[in-house]
Amino acid sequence: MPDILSIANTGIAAAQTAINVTGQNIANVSSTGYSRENVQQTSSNTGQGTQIIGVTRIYNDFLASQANSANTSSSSSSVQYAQVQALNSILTDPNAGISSTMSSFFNSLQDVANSPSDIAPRQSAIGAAQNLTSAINFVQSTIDNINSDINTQLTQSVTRINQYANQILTLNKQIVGTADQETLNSLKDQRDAVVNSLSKEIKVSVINQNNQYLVSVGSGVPLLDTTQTFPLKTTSNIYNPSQTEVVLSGTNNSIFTTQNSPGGIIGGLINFRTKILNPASNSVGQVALSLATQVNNAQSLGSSLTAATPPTGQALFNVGNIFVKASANNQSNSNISVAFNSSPAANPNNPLDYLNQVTTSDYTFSFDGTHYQLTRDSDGTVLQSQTSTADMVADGMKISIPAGLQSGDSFKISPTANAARSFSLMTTDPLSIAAAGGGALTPANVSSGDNSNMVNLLNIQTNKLINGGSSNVFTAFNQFISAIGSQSHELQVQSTFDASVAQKSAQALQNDSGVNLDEEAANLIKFQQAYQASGKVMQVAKQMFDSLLNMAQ
Amino acid sequence: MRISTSNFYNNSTNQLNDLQSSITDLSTQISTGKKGVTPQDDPDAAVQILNLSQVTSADTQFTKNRVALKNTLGEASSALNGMVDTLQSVNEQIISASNGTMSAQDRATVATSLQGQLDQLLSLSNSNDGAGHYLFSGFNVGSTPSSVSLTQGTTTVNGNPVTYNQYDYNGTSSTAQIQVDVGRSSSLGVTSGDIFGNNSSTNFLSQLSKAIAVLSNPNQTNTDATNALNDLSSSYQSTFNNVLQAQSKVGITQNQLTTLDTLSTNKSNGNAQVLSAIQDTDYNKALSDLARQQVELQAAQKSFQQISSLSLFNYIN
Repeated sequence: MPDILSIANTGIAAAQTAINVTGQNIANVSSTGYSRENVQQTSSNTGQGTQIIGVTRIYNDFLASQANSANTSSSSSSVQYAQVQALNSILTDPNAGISSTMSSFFNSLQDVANSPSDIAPRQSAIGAAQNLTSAINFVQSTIDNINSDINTQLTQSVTRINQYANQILTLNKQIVGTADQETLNSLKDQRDAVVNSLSKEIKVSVINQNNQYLVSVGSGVPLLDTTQTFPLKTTSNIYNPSQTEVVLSGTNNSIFTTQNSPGGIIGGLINFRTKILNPASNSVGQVALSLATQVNNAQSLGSSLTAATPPTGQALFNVGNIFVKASANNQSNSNISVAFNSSPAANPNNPLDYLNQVTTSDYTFSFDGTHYQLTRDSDGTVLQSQTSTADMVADGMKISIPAGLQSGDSFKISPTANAARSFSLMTTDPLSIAAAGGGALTPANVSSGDNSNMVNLLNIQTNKLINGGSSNVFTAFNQFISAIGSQSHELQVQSTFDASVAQKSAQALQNDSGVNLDEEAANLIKFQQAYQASGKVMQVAKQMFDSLLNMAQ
Repeated sequence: MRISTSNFYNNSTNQLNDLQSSITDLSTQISTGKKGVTPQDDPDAAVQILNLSQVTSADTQFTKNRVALKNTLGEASSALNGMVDTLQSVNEQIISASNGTMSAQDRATVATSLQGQLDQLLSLSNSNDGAGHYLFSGFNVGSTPSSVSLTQGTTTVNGNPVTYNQYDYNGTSSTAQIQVDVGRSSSLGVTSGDIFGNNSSTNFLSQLSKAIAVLSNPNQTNTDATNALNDLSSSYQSTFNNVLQAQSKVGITQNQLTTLDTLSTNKSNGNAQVLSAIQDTDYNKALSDLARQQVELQAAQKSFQQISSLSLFNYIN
């Protein structure tokens, strides 16, 4: 008889626990990262009644790792897409873009050609040149802003990664030291949520060793083991102080490159900077270089109206020099010097032909103790390899090699990266436009209707002096816009796709682990009834006991 | 399939958001009249827009250039017509003075009207475009093409030396080239030097001045007059040919510009149509899409409302 009561008692206790768990599930229906719990109930191993052997956390590791990896891909493409949109939106402004201000500049030169001695069209032309300069500078400064934004984002992401590493390490320790099932489940939810956040920053691999997570990022860079974290660090690029790189503590060589992409925000940012942003800067620079060089050359062929010497037209545009930077790891202090191969002797018939050879790639110059070697970064081609320090000529550049380089020294060369950044108007004097023909005429000797040099300035519109004679300044710029547009479009498609995969994987995980209220409602009824039934059993036991007592009277 | 409750709400919200954002896009297209093509939406179209905008902008400038050149040509043409008339009058005077029946006094009268015609030709040679730019002085648009030379000419009347004014051409031989189309320049191409001669002693105006000096001189002999008239007549012939050539040159250039105008109008109409097709909203499509998406949004909202009211808890009392 007392057995029936204790059996009913175990039933009531089990139903209470189950109702508690159901209540916990219902309460957390909207909690992010909450994994629903199930009670594991079996018959009592004493053979009397029932028992709760555990509260299981429903969490599928396979679905979780799928969701994390989809998260990594999605954040990589979406961060790139967000950055490329900033470029995309400024490039085609119909009123202030480079293409339209360049058109206006040449149109205003036409007006100068029509009335070469009038001051008004000359002033308009200088104004148009200023607008063009602003448009080029604006695009470049947008690129520079995106670059520093990337630096900030990389630094912030690395900070978050290190924070996550510390959190996981702490949670690992707490999990190992906790016996209470409910607390344990909650700690595990927290830890999996941190891993999921981490997967947004960078590709994550997790090994579960005795309930402790060992985490590595990218392709096998350890982030933490059971005892310590291995924090990442940011530092300047060895060649370019304005670009932040991610490194391991104690080194200054970037561990993540586009060939070895770590995915996530870090990988996306590095990929965007290497494949889109730096080439964009170089492409705008290439157009700026070609335009400025041709305008200045045409100016030098004519006569201006300024009283100042020289009587030939002075240069109108200033354009940035070739970017050359020694590696921070160099042993020697010697520097190579790089200039455009513009000496007329190189090509007497067309002294500007070197512009055709200047590419939008960066270059690496290195010395291995024996060979001086020049590599074009865009395709990895070794352009020159020599043992002497004679001048190297390649891709429109001439490199002068100093004595005293040490083995392992290297330099980065970007022919056009600085061109647009330093693009400026050298004079605002309307008289400086060299409309009249050559012969270095003094202003007094220039005929007021002489516009014979204007043809040299106006022909720049159609001169094909970019990319091996295939493009003029307009078509080269349009090709650049088309390339950015295609990349932007690809990223749009890719990020939409990645986001939907990430959403589906997160949903699959959430559908498995998340709370369904109808299910909980049914469980609630089920456990309530189990509770009531056990209660009834107790009542029956009591009645039976009462009957027994009554019989005894 | 098991669906967690929060996923159900998230999915519904996402779906409603997507529909709302595409309805917003459509209404922006409809209100701005532009599809809002960026390089990302359609790289080729965006570049085509840039190309066409550049071509259109250059064409507008070329049209402006052609208008300016046509004005110049029109003014030059009327000046040349004036020269033809005046030269023909000069010729009539030469013929009437050469018939051998005129007295010295009669020839002096001829000289007076020749002087008037010389002034007329000088003024036509020095025509300007209204803005003070001389038409016929080549590059030297700021200075008069024809002016009295510092050196006077000398001839003999009745064996005695007589001086007369000579005229210089002060301009250049080239005229300003104006771009009238892609890679195509055009020019007035006519100077006073071309018409009257570059050399001050053989310049037609100098020749005319010499004839006037002889014919107006009371001491002139018949031989003096005949020689002067013969010299003037031959100079007249070549000058008259020069003017006719200049007229036809100007006419040909005017015709070419008119042809370019027609071509340019056709081209810019075509460009405008292509541009419009690329960047303007297709209202039929946009409005029908809008109507369809409104229906979809309403259906989604309605079904969300109905499904979300379904909960087992409604039945537990």
